[in-house]
Amino acid sequence: MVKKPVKLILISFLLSALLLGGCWDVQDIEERSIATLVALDKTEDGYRFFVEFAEPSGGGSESAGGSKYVYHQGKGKNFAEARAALDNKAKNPIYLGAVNAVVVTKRMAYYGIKEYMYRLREINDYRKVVDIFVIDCEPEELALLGKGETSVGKTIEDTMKTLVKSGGRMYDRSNLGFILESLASPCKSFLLPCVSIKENSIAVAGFYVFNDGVCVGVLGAEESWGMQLFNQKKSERYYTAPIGGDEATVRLALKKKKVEPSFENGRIGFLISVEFYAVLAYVTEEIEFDAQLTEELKRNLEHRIAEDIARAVYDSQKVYRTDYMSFCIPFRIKYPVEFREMDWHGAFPDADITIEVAVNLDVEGEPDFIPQYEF
Amino acid sequence: MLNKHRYEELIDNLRAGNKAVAVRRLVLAGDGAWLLYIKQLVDGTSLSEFVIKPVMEYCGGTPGRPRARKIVDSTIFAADCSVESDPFAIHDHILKGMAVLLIGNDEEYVVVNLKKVEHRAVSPQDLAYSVRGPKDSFVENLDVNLSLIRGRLKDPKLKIDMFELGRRSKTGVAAIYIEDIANPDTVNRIEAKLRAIDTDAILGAGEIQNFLTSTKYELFARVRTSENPAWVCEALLEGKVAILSDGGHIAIIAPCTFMESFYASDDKYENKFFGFFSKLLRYLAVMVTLCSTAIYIALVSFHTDALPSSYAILLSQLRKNVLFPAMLEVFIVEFILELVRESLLRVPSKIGTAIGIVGAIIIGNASVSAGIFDALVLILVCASLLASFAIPDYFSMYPIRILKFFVIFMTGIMGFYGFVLAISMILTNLVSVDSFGVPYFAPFAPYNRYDFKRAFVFSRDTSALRIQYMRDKDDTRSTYAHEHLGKVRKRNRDENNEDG
Repeated sequence: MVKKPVKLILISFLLSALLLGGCWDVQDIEERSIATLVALDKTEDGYRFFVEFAEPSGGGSESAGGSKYVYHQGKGKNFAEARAALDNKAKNPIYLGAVNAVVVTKRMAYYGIKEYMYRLREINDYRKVVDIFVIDCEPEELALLGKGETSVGKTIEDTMKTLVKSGGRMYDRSNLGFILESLASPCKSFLLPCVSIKENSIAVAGFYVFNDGVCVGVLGAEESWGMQLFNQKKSERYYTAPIGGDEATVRLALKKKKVEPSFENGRIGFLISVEFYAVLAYVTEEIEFDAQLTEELKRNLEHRIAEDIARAVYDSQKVYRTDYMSFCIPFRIKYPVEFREMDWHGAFPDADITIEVAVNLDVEGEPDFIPQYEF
Repeated sequence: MLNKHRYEELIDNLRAGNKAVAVRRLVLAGDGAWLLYIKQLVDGTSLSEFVIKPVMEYCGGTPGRPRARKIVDSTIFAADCSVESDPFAIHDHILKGMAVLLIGNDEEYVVVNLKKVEHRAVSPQDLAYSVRGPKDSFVENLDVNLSLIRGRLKDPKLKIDMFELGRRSKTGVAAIYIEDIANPDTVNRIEAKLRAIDTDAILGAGEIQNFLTSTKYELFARVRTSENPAWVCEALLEGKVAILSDGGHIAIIAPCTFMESFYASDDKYENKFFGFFSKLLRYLAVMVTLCSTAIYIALVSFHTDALPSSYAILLSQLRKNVLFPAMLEVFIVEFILELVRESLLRVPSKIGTAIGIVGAIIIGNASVSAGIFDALVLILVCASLLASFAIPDYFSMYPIRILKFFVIFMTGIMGFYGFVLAISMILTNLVSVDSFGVPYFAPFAPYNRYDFKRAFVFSRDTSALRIQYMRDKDDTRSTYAHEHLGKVRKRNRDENNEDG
């Protein structure tokens, strides 16, 4: 038997749930304008948002037709004004939780995106895994790509995911969460992929290097190889190395990576040990791989990989003078006191970095020709 | 001592009060005798052949005064007869379908059971279909039902305690258990509840169920009902008590737990892996029934950012022309489908199909085409409805159907927080009640490893012990049970020690 005071408490709880729930403010999904792509541009007197909205075609049995996509822009002296101008143009309150990609123009990248990143952190709607890109064209050109029928934001996101999975792009730390983390860390450096339009489709044209939220340079697609190899995770990638007078192509996967920091006599040092697993895919000429040839290919691979990584380290240290490969993290873990007392940005460019590459080569894989058998 | 005249007076009073009482006057060795019975309840042919004829033949040729004791011992041919002496019980015997033979100048009288009550033949089950198990079911006659149980369990320890419930109906109720298995404490509790029933009539098992589980704010039934004799025998072998009543075709099984609603007799006949799969499917089905529409409301109205962007766009597309907010839409559709479900139960079978088609076409197709309701809501509500039919014990889903609305309401006002709150309240209720001393949410709470395994995988050859949470007198089932017993008892002891 429930006693009277307990009954009263239960009833008052249920009533307060009704009154305090705030359910009268609820907006269902169809009462919001769903943004799928947000582009930020720097104008002469402020900022410009260029946003792609999904416009569902309607319920009932015709709903299989899909959505259309419309574009609106809002300009203002600051982000709040630009957003207000955008709000005036949207049919319903803007919903940012479905944004597939956030892009910033080159102008904005060189101006600095730190403030905008902090704004994105404050807006709870944004997913922290949304990717940020730099575009080297105008946002309107991106809109032309979709023709109003496909979502450019979704296309960019899907293209990037595919590249990461297939090994075409081996750097996937350009999401909002990682950028905020980088800005909060001592390194303060990060890379953002550069998206461009090539032959009517989305392509990655390289990486923009950021230091403390401001772009300090661009790594071209070829130049970024070493950095991508260093940051490679699970995906495999085709890689070539010379053998004899020919070229052999292997499928390369990073197995182990160790960055061992050292600090002696006030000098920072790093020993990078990377281990790759390579499977011979094909060669330009018919070659029978014996032990000697295998060893030669292995050495050539190791040498080439070491060169690529060394170039990436050189670019980071000497060209851009920013630690976008995040060497500060293992150093801070091992030498927290020393790290706190030093100016990392000043000391990092002079660090000694040694690279050791080991490749476990498998030539039994899939050579396309075995010379002793003639057909 | 009642003499002939007092008997005549008694008979006159009986006939005055109940015109249905038939009186057959006999003359036995010069003494008057009266055979009293109700024609509709007694088999007239048997009465003539086995009572009247032998009594008259005997008393015609035998010297001395006829005596009730002598007639019962060596004259009448009926199997079930006795000598009684309480004159105030005569009317009761007649109303129960007995024939009463009053002999002048003998204070004792004969009561003969020649009941002939019309009842259904044993037929296949209606409420829970079994694919491989026995298909017979109980009927409205207690004797037939008891024979269905006795025919399966020829155990000398099978005990049947008879009760008479209802001041006016005097319904025969049998409490059945196996004496050396069932926990005597449980049996006593149940029988005490039966004895405490004070009402004018008991016309079916459902009424007894209400008396057994009479707590004001109870939602979950703490007994299980079944029309399957094989299932009832299984329950008796687990140490439970089965209650059968005259006039009802459903047996009540007590105690029971919430998880037992998900067990079907087919689980034991099939391969244990398939049994496991079926049970898992049912556990998921109840979660779908309870939660699917509430989660939809939470995602559409409150937590849209939990959805991938393509799903958010699709949902927006589906709901573009819908008139109602998500919560109201779900309530309306759920209500309509509950109406369809109820109407299909009550409607004559010949127009049931038509109602189903009308419901499907009008509610389903037309409303989606017109954009009044969202197709996804209809799919989820129908999935919830179908999932509720996957549970073998149909009646155990009644509270789930009610609680579904509560969960929808809480989610509709507070999003996932309200959803979690509602589920927590339901779980709190489930773990805090018991069924005649057995925790209602066993074997999940309190946790028992042996019973927990059995809740998913049951195989007779691997289940050497009975359910541990029943605390039966004898919990061993097979000859090699004692090997298991040592390990299980030790584990139970350790678990109890950990719980303090």
